[in-house]
Amino acid sequence: MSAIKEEVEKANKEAVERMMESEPIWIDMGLAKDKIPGMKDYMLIHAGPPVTWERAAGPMKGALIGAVLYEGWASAPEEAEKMLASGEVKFEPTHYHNAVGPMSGVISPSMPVYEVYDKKWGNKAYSNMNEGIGKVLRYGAYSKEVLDRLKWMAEVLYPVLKATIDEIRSEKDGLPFKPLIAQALQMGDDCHNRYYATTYLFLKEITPYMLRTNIDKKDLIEAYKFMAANPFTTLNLGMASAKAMTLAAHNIEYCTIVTVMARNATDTGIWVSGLGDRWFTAPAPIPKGVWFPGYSEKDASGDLGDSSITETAGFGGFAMAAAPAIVSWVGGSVQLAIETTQKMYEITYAKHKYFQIPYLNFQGTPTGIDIRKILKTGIVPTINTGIAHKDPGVGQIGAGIVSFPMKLFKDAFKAFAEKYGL
Amino acid sequence: MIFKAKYIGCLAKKFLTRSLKKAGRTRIILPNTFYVEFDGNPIIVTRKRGRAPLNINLSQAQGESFQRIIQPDLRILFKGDTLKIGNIIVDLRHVEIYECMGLDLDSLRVSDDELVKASFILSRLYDLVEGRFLVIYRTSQFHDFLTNIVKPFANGVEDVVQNPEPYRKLMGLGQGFTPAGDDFLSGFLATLNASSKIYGFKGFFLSKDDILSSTSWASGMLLYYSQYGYVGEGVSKIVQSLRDKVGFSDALMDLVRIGHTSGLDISLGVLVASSMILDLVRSKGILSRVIRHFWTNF
Repeated sequence: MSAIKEEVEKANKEAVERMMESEPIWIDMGLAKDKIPGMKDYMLIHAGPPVTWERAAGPMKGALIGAVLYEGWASAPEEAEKMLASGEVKFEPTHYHNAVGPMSGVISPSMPVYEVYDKKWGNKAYSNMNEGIGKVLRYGAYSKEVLDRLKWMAEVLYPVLKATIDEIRSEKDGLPFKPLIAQALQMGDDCHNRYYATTYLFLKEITPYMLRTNIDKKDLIEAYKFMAANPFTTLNLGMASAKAMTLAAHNIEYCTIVTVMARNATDTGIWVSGLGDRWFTAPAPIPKGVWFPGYSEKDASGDLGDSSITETAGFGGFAMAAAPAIVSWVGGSVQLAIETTQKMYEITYAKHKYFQIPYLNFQGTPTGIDIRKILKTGIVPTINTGIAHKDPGVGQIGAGIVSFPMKLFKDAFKAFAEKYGL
Repeated sequence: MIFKAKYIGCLAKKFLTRSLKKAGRTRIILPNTFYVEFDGNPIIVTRKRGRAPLNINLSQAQGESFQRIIQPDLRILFKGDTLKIGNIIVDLRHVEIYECMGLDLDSLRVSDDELVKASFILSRLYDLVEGRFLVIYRTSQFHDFLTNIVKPFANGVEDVVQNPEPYRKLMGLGQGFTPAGDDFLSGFLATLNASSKIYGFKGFFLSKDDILSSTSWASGMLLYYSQYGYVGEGVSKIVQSLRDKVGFSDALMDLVRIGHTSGLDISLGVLVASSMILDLVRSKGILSRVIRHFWTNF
């Protein structure tokens, strides 16, 4: 065996092992400016690779405008737009800050965030709270109703969750999230676009602690109802957990495993462990999906969101065979869901030790996307996703399935060859 | 059952229209492709997308396996604009012709670093098949070929490529529908012969008899026509990319997907031939920089 082959093999094995053995635990809540490293005033973070204001797509622009209004830095959308275009308000990728956000992924300094700690490897990852579906900030909507909901989340939901996690922490390290994902995969979730079981499991875990807090009963009930009514309540915690898992696999020399896949509606981008924080980008594809009444593919923006961190960590769309009911949300057939998972085994390094799929005889989920395998097979990662309207201010118009462009992996492998082969 | 054809390769069209008997037989049936012998010449009918001189590409990308609906050694008739195979008709009425442009090389401008980068990429992709399929660069026949043909040629002994023995040892080497040795030689000879026109050295062509006494009919026919530049789109793209400073590794990454190791082996053939020729005409040392990723003792 050649020396370089041994190095790559050793590095990939280590990366995937670290990813699978990661132990993400929800440990705290706080405001983004207090929790997220490098977060500053007049700064926003967003999903996907870097993008300029001029190149940003509608839903990304909408969410950034909404966040500026939410912070009170501007009193009207036009003013917010000027601040963003002039650079007065800066915006950069969440991944530079060990954070992730679904769809536009926009997080502003005074938004509350979850803090997830990897007990095994010591990394921390962050994500915001989930607003629900439809007309929401993460899909580019910023009407009064959207901003009012965000305010309510900061004023009511956040204190409830903060007090709850403090109660949990008075008894144990925090709330381990990997067991919840493992369990939910066996209850029909894929933990990207289907989080029903995860959310119920989460509520079952936290409710006793919620009840022990000194929070006003009315607020507790409101918060509980909001979370119970939103099947995506746990998406953001799942994503922060996935970010913690993939952080454990990042920056390993010679490693060809993908550690970030993310989209900003203009571009889609990846990181590869052995190549550090270097983005490889290609135009964001438009998902094929199921449309909300009155909308179609012509209304759709390019794909966006950091939520593909779930597939990067070995669940989400890669575990679609565990979640046959998901096809009612993202389209396609049950057979397609099964075939999608089966195909992903061809481009991944291992089967997950802890995440298993009952329908496939409890095989582990496909884990550790290897850019070499993508090039050899011609199979690209396929994920499920929400679909935003191409114009700012509208919101979600559907959900579907999307594949990452081959160019990303070709460019990454060329860079890998330049770094290690010349 | 009627299949509509979308493209027909220039050679396939020539073999059909110039045939006197207008008849042939099915030879090999695969799930999405079947091979036909038409007056002694090969024609490949396929659902796959890649166009090639010998191909008839059907418009329908998916369907029932040909192995269930076509038997080997079945009589085929070409009449009007249709091919009749038992109860099956291939409709050629609105077919587009895939013209054979030949491998149009005017120079090899590819940079040394681009070739070394491509060799690294290729060797890392070979890592994925090792243990499951024959890795040609680990064989003694390949080492023999490098020692007796490639190295002397790179050092200026041009006539050495005319020695048929090292080619014979490679033909038929490996398992699968197109053995690894045949694929490697397809890429090697296509590049060598396309470049010979530019640099004025003598090319080399294996005879049909020599090929068919060493390997299977279908694989041998593909090798035979490849050496004359009759290659599919993917191979054409990688050979043509040698004209540009960069772009070779991109073309290689598109080609490597073919078959279990076919794409890898054809790419290796193109890479070895182009490095050998560049050592002869331009710079010394590129060949060893490329080969060291495959054979450290070279």
